[in-house]
Amino acid sequence: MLRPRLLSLILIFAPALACGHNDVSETIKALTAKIEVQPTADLYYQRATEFRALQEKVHAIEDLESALKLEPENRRALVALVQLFGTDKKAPPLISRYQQFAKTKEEKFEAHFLLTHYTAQLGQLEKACSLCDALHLMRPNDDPALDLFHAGLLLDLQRPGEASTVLKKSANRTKSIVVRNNWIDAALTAGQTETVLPIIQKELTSSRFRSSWLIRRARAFLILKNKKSAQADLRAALVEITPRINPERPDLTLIADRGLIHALMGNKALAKRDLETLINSGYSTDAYRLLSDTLADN
Amino acid sequence: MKSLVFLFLSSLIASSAIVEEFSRQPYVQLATDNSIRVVWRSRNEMTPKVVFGTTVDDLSSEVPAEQIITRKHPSLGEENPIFKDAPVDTRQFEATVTGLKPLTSYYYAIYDGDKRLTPADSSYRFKTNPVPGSDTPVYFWVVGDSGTGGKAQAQVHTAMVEHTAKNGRPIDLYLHVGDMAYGSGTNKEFSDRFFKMYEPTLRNTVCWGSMGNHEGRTSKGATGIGPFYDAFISPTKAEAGGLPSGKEAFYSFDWGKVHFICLDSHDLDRRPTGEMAQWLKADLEKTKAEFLIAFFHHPPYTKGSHDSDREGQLVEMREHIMPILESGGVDLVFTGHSHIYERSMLIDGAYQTPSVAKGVILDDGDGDPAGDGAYRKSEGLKPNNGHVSIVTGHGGTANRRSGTHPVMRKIILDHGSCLITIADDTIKGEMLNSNGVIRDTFAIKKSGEVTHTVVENPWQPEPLRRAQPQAGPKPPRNATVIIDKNETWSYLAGSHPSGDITDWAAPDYDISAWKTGKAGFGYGDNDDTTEINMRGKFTTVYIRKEFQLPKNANLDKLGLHVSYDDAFIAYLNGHEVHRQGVDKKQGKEADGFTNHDAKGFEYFPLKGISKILKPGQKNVLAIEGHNVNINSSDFTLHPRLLLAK
Repeated sequence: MLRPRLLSLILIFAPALACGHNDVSETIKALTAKIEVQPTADLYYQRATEFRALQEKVHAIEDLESALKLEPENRRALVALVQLFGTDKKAPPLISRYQQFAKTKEEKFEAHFLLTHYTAQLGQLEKACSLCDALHLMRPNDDPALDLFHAGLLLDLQRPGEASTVLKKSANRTKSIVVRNNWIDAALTAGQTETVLPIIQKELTSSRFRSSWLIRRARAFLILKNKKSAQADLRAALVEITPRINPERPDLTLIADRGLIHALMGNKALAKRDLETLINSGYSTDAYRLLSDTLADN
Repeated sequence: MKSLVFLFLSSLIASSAIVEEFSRQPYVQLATDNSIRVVWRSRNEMTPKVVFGTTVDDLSSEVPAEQIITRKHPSLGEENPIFKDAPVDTRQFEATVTGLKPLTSYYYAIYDGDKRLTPADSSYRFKTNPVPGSDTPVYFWVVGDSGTGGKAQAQVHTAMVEHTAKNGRPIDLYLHVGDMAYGSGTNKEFSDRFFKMYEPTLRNTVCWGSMGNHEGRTSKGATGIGPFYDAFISPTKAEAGGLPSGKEAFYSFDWGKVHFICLDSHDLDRRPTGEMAQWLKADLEKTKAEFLIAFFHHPPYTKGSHDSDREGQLVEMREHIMPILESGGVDLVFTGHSHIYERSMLIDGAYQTPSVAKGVILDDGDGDPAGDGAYRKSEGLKPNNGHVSIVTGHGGTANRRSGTHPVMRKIILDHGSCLITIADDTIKGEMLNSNGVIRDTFAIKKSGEVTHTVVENPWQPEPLRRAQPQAGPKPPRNATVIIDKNETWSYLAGSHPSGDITDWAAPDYDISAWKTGKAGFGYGDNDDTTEINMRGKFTTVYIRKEFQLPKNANLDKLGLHVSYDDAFIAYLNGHEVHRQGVDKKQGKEADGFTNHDAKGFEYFPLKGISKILKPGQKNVLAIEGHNVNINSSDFTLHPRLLLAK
């Protein structure tokens, strides 16, 4: 029942977090020794990836900046630095620089994607959607992650019908089960049940754990004003999901599902409690958008 | 039984029978219960043909030509090219053999037109998977971090081949948890350090691979492009069971009643909202297998050469992915990355950072049926019923331990691999070291309904005892320096001296072919004057130097003052006078080494040597220096000889 995380596509271009052959700290020491003798952009980049592995963002940024001083058109360092800058105003000049020196199709796509992602991070969702359209034109058969990203923007813009269209097309093309499931969720949000209900029924008969599909069918029943059947499915889903949740350290994906069950059943207090658990855990907001939207609708 | 042993022996014999026409020898991939892929490379144009049959003498079936695809270098402009770092004339042939019966052995041969390329050899065979869900015992091998192309990797492989041959039970499949082609997983590194090394096994046993960080330097999980993705043909459309992932980076497959899940812990989004985790959740909801095995590169629990409390990928796999796997009922999790063998107790819910034992150990026994007894779990895949986590990053590169992980039951610094049997209701795991010795055994018995409660005060592994600097004797004050630092020595590196094992230490031994260089000798720690490029190549260096003693010297006052890493044996005039960190034998036969870092010069008085030495005449000090591991990060040998007053 998770919606695609808005930022998922960025990892396509994330530099490999290439930890060294040995312990990360040892690798950093070794790289530092080499840098002291003969600094190169590659050595700074390598050390930055090690700092990133240790989640030492400040040091990683310093090294990537040093790499770019030595080689202003070092693609790997530039992309990594843009990612680390997030919404910082230092990012756009770097993206512009990349757009200027990008030569291959892949580089042009990557530079455009960085701009799209940055725009989305700023909350300029309409503009980001337009940029996504351009990305699709650049690579019509790209990895489904781009479709998931685009659909996420459309859902943020409360345009589930368009999201459903993007995802359905992608699911047909890629056969990705993740895209298909996201399409089903987007279609239900858009109030479309006809095409997805047969799939849901089929999954219910063939799955070991049925709660995700029971929730989806309950959503369909609610659209079809069949509240009784919806409640029955939600109760069954809750029965199945409860023993799967470790009370001390739960699988948060199941907490998101349980919260949605409570929200759909009208148990707002319990749903809010699960929502708070997700928020307090630092869980990505994308994961509980369906839950928070459902709570808001109620 | 005899026929099985014969098959093994023929595999071993055939291992040296490399077919010249292939630039990458044939290997099998993506087995299902009715199909398999046979893959090979050549740098010649050929008309590929694959024939097969159920007896070695009757290969009467042929793979239709349209089921053999040829992939070429991208510069040739064809679709689905191989990665650009392969030689331009390389062709990769992938034959899809279909219409096979489940759980059946077939033999195959590869032809170029009418010319048979593979020998008439029973080792060119494969076995299809059983029907998913069927009750068939499975025996598989798990290796990690092996890709050095060195001696230790070969020994680990040989140990498995000999062990399985001895027991008359071939492996059904092989999991590799990543880092199979150091240092960057290039085409050449794959050929030299993976395919050549494992060729006799790969030609008849499917290896299912998970990408390590070293392969990740040239291959990308998101795009499925790179030498790793050329080497492995992994399911994207649920060809072998499970749910379609759409990506070769993560996938699942069924083997009988066991569901295997491979994840990419390296370069994909590891968060629960990411595509991989969403697929994992859906796949776990779907499977109706009775056993669940997951494998990926970065370990959620380790204190080996990596620390799972500090490094982002490891933390994220623990915090984000492990809850999904455990709520899906996982039994075993295999990882590598950390160069060590670490095997956990039965655990659940160990997601905190830093890791703690409190509240997460469900059974703190050793899991050994001959010891504390097998771990117990409910039958089927019961959520949060405990799993065993295994770091098997000890497949060939230098091992290292940095601490003690609190969920671990066995921590072993030894090269090796894991052999797992799943039969009836029991999983049995063994760690086989590179000498063919079983160093760890555990089992998980899954029957009935088992409800665990957390062990309040669980057994805890011994903390790592860090090597303390030896409080040995101090070097004498005002000693006469007989041989000083940085003096010139004769040395032999990269081969062993001719003659009997210690002949080279005798004063009259001919060293005219030896090189000369200034001490210290070694590499890797910036303390060496004569750099020796021995990493990955050899472990022993021999050095000799003549010296003279004053006529009135007190011969009982001589001592060696040496900086060393890891071990050495010293000789005076051909007689062994001191050994440090070497348990037994000498030279190429030396064995039982102890790790030691060079921490400055240490003093060793030499006793009982007065009859060996010749005051006023030529004497020879000879030292053999040993590295514990061929891939060790450093080596040092820097001696002085002191005469106390």
